[in-house]
Amino acid sequence: MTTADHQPQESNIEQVRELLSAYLDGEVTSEEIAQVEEAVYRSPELRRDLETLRQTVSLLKRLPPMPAPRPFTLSEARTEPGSPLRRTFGLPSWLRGWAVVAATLACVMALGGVFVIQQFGGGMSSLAPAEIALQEQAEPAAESEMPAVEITQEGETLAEPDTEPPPAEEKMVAPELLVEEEALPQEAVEEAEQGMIATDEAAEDTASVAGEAAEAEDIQPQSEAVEESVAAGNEAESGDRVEATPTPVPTMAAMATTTPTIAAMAPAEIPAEESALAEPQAIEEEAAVGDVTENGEQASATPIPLPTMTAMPPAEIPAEEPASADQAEGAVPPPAAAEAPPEPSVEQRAATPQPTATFTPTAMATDVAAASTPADAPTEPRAEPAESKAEPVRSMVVTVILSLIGLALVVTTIIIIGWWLLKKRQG
Amino acid sequence: MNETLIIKEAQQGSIAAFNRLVMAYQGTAYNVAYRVMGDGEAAADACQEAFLKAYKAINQYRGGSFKSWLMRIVTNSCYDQLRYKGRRPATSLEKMTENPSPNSLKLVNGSEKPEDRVLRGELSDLIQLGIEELPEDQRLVVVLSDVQGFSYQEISDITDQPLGTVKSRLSRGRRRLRDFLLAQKELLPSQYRLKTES
Repeated sequence: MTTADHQPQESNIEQVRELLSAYLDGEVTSEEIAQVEEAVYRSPELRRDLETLRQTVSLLKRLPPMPAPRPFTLSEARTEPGSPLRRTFGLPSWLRGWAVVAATLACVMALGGVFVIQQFGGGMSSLAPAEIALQEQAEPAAESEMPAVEITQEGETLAEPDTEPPPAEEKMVAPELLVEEEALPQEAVEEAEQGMIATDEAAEDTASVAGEAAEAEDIQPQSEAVEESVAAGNEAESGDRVEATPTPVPTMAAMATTTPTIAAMAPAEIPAEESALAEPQAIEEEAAVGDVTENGEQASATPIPLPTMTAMPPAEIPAEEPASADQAEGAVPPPAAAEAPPEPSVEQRAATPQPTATFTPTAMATDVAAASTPADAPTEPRAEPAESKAEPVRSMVVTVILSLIGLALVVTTIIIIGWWLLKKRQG
Repeated sequence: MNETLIIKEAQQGSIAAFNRLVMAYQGTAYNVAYRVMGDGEAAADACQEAFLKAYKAINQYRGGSFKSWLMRIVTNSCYDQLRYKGRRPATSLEKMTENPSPNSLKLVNGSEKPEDRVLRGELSDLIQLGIEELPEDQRLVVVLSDVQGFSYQEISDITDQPLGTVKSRLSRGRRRLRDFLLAQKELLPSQYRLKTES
């Protein structure tokens, strides 16, 4: 026989060996019986295995039985109520488990509900001020009618839509500024050259100030837009320049006669490019000052970044207070008055531009701060909607939790009643 | 009395009826526990605990072999005892030769010769030692089948294992015990030694 022939035989022997135990007990099929008997007949090893297994089983069967050392009968004492051996609560083990689960669930739901109610009760009150602040920031920005206020990054996107508001504000501001503008024609020619020099100096000042303002990230995008508008505005009409500049023209109109001072006043937020824009515009507009009263747009075309900046705080800074409040204060005091409504700040600015030479950012901050006080009033009503929105949510959560607790209690009750009925029926 | 009626009475709360069942099956229960645990006191504790559990769970019995149902509780109680005490069957070869089990020396019947009793005692101890060397799953199946005479189906019900698993475990357990006895052949009485010659 070759090796190849031995391998199938070895596997067959092993397979038969596994059947020997069942063969001894008669727990094999007819086919398996034939297979075992044939293999045992041919293999002495299998015969030996079968015989030794049979002897082992025989020895096991001959083991003497072990008598119990004592009776294991139960007594009444072992089964009395209160005994630890007594059936626990009389519940079957499977039912006992579900009852424990239901009771545990009810306790967990109750504790969780109390915890959530406390959290929500304290959480909503702490959230209200934050929501109020966000609303304050959002609403002024949305409701702002001062395109000049939106010079910041957000305002940049509103540059185009701001064309409509500016005209309205021009009308609002123009009458108040007529007094100042009328004075311009008298001095316009004489001061044209002086204005150029002054604007240069002011540009330097504004550039230095703008350097500080450049730290504010929200100013930079605006400055880029102003640069583009400056480059385009040199060749464009004043009205177009106004449209191109993100700064609201109407607010600039208030400062048309005080271009140098305006440049000097330009707070840090005013990009240097804006002041540069003001220079060519100021020169041209001063020459055309006589037509200011006739063309409100021209008057409003004068770049007046300062009013814009002062108007900006009320709308923009509120949205940025959390992040850039410190920077705004350090760079531009006026923007610190973030809550000032656009209209009041414009009016105040129009009323106080005379002492332009002495007009300092600090003074503007004072004005803006004064104007900011009215802005405090709207905060109160805004808090109410936030609270009113929070209350339904809180009540809904409480309702859900209480419902879950009730459900767990109902399930527990059903289980107990079911067991009682089952026991009564068996009894 | 019909066992079914006794069981019904026990399910209705009759302790006396349940004790009748205890008396009928406590011998089998103790032997199974003793062979599995290898210790008389541990086996008694396991049996007592098993009958208490059976009384508490008597209402869960839904028919079929009451003996199998009861033995399942006994074997589970034995496993619990073994795991709780972290013990293996304590019988050792030296302990067996020095202090043979007192139970093995008791006369099974009055006609047995003393020498046969001694031999039976030595054989019993050695076989018990071999049983305790088996893994728990093989040990239980060998005891239920060859010591207590349960059928393959009853063993399947008691252990909650399929028939194929029962056959496999019994085959391996028997072969392992055979190999043990062949190795200890000198300790076996001559008439009980396994004859390997065909």
